[in-house]
Amino acid sequence: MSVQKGALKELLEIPDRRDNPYVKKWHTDGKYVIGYMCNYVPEEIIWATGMLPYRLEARDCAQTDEADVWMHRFNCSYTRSILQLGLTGEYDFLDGICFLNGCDQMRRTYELLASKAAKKPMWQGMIAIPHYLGDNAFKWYKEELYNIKEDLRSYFGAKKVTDEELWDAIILYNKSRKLIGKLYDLRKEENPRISGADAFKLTLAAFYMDRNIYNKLLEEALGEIEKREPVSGYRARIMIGGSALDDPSFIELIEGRGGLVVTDTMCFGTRFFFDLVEEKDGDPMEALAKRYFYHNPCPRMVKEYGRRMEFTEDLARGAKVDGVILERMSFCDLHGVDSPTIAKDLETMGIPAMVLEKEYYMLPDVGRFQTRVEAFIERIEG
Amino acid sequence: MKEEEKLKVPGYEYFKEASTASQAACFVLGFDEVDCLDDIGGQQFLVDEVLPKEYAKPFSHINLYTVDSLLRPVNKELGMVVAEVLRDWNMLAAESFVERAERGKKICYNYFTQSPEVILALDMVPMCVEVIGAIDALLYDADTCSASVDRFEAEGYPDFLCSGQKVALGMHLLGKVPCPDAFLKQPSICDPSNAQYDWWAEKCKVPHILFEAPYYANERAFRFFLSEYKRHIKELEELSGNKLDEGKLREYVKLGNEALSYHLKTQVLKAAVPCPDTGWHAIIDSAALTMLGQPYALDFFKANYEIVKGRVDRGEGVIPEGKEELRCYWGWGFNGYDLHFMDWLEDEYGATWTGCSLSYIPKFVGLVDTTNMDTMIESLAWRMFNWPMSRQGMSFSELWVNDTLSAARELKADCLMMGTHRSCRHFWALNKILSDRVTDELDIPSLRFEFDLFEHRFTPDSELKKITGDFLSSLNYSKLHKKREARYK
Repeated sequence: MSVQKGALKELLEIPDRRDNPYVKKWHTDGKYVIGYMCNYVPEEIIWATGMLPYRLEARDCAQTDEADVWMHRFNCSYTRSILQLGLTGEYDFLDGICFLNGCDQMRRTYELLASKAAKKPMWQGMIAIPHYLGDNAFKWYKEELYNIKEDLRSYFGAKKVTDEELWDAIILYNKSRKLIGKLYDLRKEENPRISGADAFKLTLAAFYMDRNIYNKLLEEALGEIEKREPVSGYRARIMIGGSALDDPSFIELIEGRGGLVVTDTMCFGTRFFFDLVEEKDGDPMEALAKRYFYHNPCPRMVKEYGRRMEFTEDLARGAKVDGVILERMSFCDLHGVDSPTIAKDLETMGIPAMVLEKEYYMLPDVGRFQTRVEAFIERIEG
Repeated sequence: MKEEEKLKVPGYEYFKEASTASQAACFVLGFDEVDCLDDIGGQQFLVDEVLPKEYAKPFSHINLYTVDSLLRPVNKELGMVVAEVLRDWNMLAAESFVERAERGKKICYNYFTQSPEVILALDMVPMCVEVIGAIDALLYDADTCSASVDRFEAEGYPDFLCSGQKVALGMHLLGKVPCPDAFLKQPSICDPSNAQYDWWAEKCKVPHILFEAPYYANERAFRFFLSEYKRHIKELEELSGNKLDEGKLREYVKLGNEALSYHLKTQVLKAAVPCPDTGWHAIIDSAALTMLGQPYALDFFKANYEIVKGRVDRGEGVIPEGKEELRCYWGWGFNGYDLHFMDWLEDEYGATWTGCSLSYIPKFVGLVDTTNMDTMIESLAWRMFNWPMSRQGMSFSELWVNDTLSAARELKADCLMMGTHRSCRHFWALNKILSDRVTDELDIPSLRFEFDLFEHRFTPDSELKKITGDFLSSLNYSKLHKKREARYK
């Protein structure tokens, strides 16, 4: 597949789920696409089985009428938006879904996608991950990964996945992590050559295309970025965190008010690409299990607040942020507790922080967000 | 320790007062021929003129829904037992804090799906976080409970979190409830409780001991659960400094078995037509299940069994004479602050409570096998693996839906009440599936409506009555009875 418009432009456009050329090409080649939602699903296993892992997202979803029939509005708007897209046929291209009990609402969404939205028989796999980090829990998770690998392979009649194929997948995905790491490093500069919204778009694109192509494009895009003019005139360096966010428009809103988003603790951001899978001889499944199980935990992992706080502080200090905006989606219980706690602790450390309650689709609230972000930046400026 | 010294021990004062408030309720229940507070001049008159001084103070901010429900003639006998259980449980809680201060006895705050026998056998005190919240909601007037909720939310936490924990957390921040020595939690069940337990444990800087259940209801998953349960027992042994003793555990397990056997027998009796059990104690059933191994659970379940058995033997129901019965099964449960609501449903609409998902125990759970240490641990684990809400919360919707259908069938329900706590993300994502399956497979109507477990401001009492009343008024009872009879022919 040739890209005429330049790598940076190609990635910034983020493949559209309604007309994704990479997915189309994948299908034309007779291969399958597997949807998943959570960072605890090892993409490498799906890839090594010859399939394209596709992280479900709901960008541009503005209403959830159909989804609300199945999920009451006491469930978060992120999961309802994804279900909405499933029910309205936007995920018809999926050949399977890999479930994972990331949070209560996410796991119920999978079930509804599979039982109410799917218009054809599709593979449904489940990875049950425990809620704490410990040896017994790790052993269980590893077993789950072995089971899912075999289940996925046998459902589609694929050949047995070799260790070599898994190592190849690990190397490929690690390469993405390293490249995105470089992109994030560029953002640490006093006057970076890329905005937060653009950097986020480049990161998101990873989920929606053949990873070989993505790595190549990102490598080229990094070169293009080096030649760009630095961003100047911003009023405050901002870090974002909190509930699931896969829509750059929130970052655009912050940057539209004079903030420059230079890093994040998002599961579509740093928590996705930080921590490499250890590339050494041995069992690749063990290496994958270790990376995915022990990587920087989101609040669904109990007893890990200290580690999350440390991660947040390190990132904030490393990117020299002036303030942190933690978005908290309505009915997101995990970030509902985590974000205010982190905000309070950041303030104690002298880092201004704000918790911003929002729905996934933020259209109706743009004015309020603008005012709050503006006020927060004014507070930072003193 | 003298009383004035005890009052300085964190936690003592609150639970002592809760015990006194419960004793005040016992005192009022002791008046013969009194069916409601108005019969004896109302709350203020009682406080000013009738009650002994030591009861007057707590009675001035007692939950009147609770007292009126306990006084209702058909509830009164069990009402007295409940008031006594509340009095004794709270007194024990108060004294436990003193014991901790005096000789370092450990207190564990545990989740409601945990059976407490092992904690007791290790000479520690189990106190269920959700029961602590329930006591605030049940015993005291609405403002008391709301003040706890407001205190927690004042820290910046959102209103949509589960009040099952939020009330106790607020009580902690208000200085009523101190830190425990550990938190015990099954984290597989729900996020709001995980997040709030974690927050509290982090704040108190005490161990947070977890035992995980995986997603499935199969043998492999149970083996994992058992291994987790055993690991958690080791951690409890370290915490307590005691080794789990088989004989001691057996004593508690036997007491728990006895209590549970009464509950299971009552459950069977509730299939009788007319329904022989009252609905006001729905939340008390759930609370009592957290007290297995302690005398309170036995006192309550035994008393209820005997009352229900008596009614079955006499062919009696619980609704006013001449009313037609409508048998309701509750797909979730009901709130913990308005006991009188179920009385109202029975009196106004003949709508009886046959059971709910928060206290219904599937038959296959059975009792704990007391043969030896291994059998006891394994069957305690089995019990918790399949405990109400534990079983349904950890797994696929299918399990919850099937369990509800099966219970509704067994209890000969005419309709399914799907009134649900706003913070139960699971239920709100499966309620439509459940409602559809109930229509398709049982051909009975269902009603979905929202409330908060302990927070009365969320759906006002008048609105709850309007929603349910309108629904029940629209039903053709005779037609539903015919359908039921046809189903059980």
